Amino acid sequence: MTFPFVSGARLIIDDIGGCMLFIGEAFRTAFKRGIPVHETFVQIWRVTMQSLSTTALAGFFVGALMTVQFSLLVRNFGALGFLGGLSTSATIREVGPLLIAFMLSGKVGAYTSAELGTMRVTEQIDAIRCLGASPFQEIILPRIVGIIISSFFLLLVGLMMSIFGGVLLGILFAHINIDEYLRNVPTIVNAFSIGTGLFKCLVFAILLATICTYKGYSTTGGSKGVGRSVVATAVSTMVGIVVADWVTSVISEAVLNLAAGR
Amino acid sequence: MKVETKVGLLFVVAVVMVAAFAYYLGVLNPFSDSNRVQLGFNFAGGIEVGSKVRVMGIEVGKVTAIDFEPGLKMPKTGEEVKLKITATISKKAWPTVRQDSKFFINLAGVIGEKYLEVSPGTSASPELEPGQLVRGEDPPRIDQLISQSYGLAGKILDLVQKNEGSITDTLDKMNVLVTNVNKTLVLLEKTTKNEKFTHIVNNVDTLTSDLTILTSKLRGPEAQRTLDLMHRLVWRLDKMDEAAIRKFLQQEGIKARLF
Amino acid sequence: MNGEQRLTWNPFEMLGFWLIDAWAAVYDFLSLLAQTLMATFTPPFRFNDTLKQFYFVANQSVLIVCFCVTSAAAVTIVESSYHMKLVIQNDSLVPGFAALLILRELGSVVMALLITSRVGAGLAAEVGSMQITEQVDALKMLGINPIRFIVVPRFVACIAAGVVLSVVANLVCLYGAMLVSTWKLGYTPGGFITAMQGFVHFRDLIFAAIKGAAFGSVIPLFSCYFGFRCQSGAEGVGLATTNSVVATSVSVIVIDFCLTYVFTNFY
Repeated sequence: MTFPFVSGARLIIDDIGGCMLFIGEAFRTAFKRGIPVHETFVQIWRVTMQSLSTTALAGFFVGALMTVQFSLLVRNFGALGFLGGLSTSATIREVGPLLIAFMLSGKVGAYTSAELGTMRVTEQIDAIRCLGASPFQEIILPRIVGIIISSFFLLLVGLMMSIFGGVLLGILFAHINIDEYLRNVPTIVNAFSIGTGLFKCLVFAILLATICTYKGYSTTGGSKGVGRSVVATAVSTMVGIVVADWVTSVISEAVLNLAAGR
Repeated sequence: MKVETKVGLLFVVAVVMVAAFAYYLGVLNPFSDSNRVQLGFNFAGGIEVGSKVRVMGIEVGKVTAIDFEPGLKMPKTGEEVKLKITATISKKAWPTVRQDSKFFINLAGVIGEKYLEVSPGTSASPELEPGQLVRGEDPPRIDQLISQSYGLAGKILDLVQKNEGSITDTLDKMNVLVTNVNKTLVLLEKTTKNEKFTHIVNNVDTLTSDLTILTSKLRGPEAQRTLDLMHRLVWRLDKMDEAAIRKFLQQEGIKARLF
Repeated sequence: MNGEQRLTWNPFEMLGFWLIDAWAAVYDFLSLLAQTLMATFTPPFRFNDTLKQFYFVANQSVLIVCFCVTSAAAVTIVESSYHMKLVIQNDSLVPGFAALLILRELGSVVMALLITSRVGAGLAAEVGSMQITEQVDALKMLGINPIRFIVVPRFVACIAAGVVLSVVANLVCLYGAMLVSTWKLGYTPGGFITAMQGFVHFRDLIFAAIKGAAFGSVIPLFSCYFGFRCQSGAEGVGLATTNSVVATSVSVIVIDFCLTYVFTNFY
């Protein structure tokens, strides 16, 4: 690799531009023709069911992990009472949405982009167009909306599991009882934290849905091209999510400061 | 560039980064500019390997090792010390550490981080030799202090409980007293506002100032002499009896009915 | 996996089928692991291939890893400052906490998840297409052990790359955290390092490298496992890719938890 920065940067900018055009087209179709309701529900069901077990498992372990780490930190202060509040708050605000997004990008993102890519290279998308229907309305929109809505269900499941994992490890590892763990949760977790978490989840879901449908839709070059676009989807959603995480953190902090009148 | 070269470059970069990290954490220091000193302690108050060493409050090194040595004795006094702490002190600060420097264990920071404080020695005593074993000052056992103060608190509690009635009584009386004093003060304040009273106070003021002038003369050396003389006179007069005095007065031709 | 037997609603039968499938999967995976380990430590070694794989895994991912990890560092600083202000009304401990969190969790895990989606997916697709185009069978016919030929170089390269990338990612992440805390919290770089020294030990970096190696070893194993089990057709490859990414991601988190639990005994 000769570090082709210039051409690489141009490729990235081309990608972003293509993605923007793509989502604009999707919006236009949604306003002009409406969203097919039945197909959307099918997608919601499929995505949720596909990722439920994965998300629950990952959520459980991440909650446990946060508790172990925070207990190591908080133990120095003898403030183990704050453990539950801290790890729950960190999970709701930050780790939960990020984790759901990562899991979804691995499972749903890759699957959707492979599916759409296969449709593209086997010319099914062209066939839909030939029949006079809009592929955006029939295929893309249900997937985008489905991924966004089901990511909220999955967030809920993941958070529940992570709180459960946190409580369990709080009992097993930090030796504090469940009341002590839960007592400080409401003092640290407030409506603003939950709002931040939901906002992050929404941003990540939009990002993921857009990127994976775009990459799948714009696949070229046979079955090898499908593989390429799957990998490209995985990588670019990861990068996009991490960057969006930072941006949303800064935004939420700015909103907090604004609300506090600082 | 060949693939091998790039892979090698990545490895080199990783190793250099690890080395830099180790250097910043002070684990690895190829340009060592510090001397070692060994300290004997019997109680080290929770100091750890990696704790900072400060001379006059400035960080100059860290604790590198903590060893338990049951048979360790101080070379001069022969006192048994069971804990040997090895610390580094940078060469910049080394000249200020003398034979009579004292090594304390201290607390600092928000979370009460432990560190080793070195007091500078006097320049009259010789410099410390690198690697020398020095006796450190054992920090006060805060746990013992607390247990003692627990005992004290218990005694106070006992006292209070035994004499509960009398103490309550005393407190009640004190309360009454304070109330009275308060009333008096209030009255006094009211009176000071009266004009007549002000007048009286003014008079007293002039009186006292006059008196001051008078008495100030009394304090002079002349007055002292007069007083001495009078004292002597009285002393002599005291020795004579009544008859002698009468006789004296008659001799002088003073016919007075003194007695 | 014969379909007609599946059409049953007898719960015991379903459980039985599930157990048989699960046992077959576990058995396949364990035998793959055992053969890989065998072939790793016995000659002939395939140095050149390993080097090329290392180049693909490590060198070509290092930029993207550094970029993502720096973003993650920025998030960590912002979030820990928020939490510190919430709990102790003071964010003076942020550098220490953030550095500790980065070294113990963030650097290695973000790196591993990125490598999973970048390398693991590609690897599963590659092995899967080799399987369905019968290249693997061709290798076997030529008397070449496909595990020695395909899996071992990737296995060794991924472990080495895991260590190297973990170290690089963690330190770049710390550097990013330092920059962000200089910019947002008003620390000086020296102050950040001093605040960090109270919390971070050198062994944290060693543990991070061990985690990197563990994550690196998981990626090729799962990818090749799903690649070898790939069903025919383009969909089969897509499914193998997806499954391997998901399995690797979950196992990265589980392994991370286990290693953290083990390492807590040494802190």
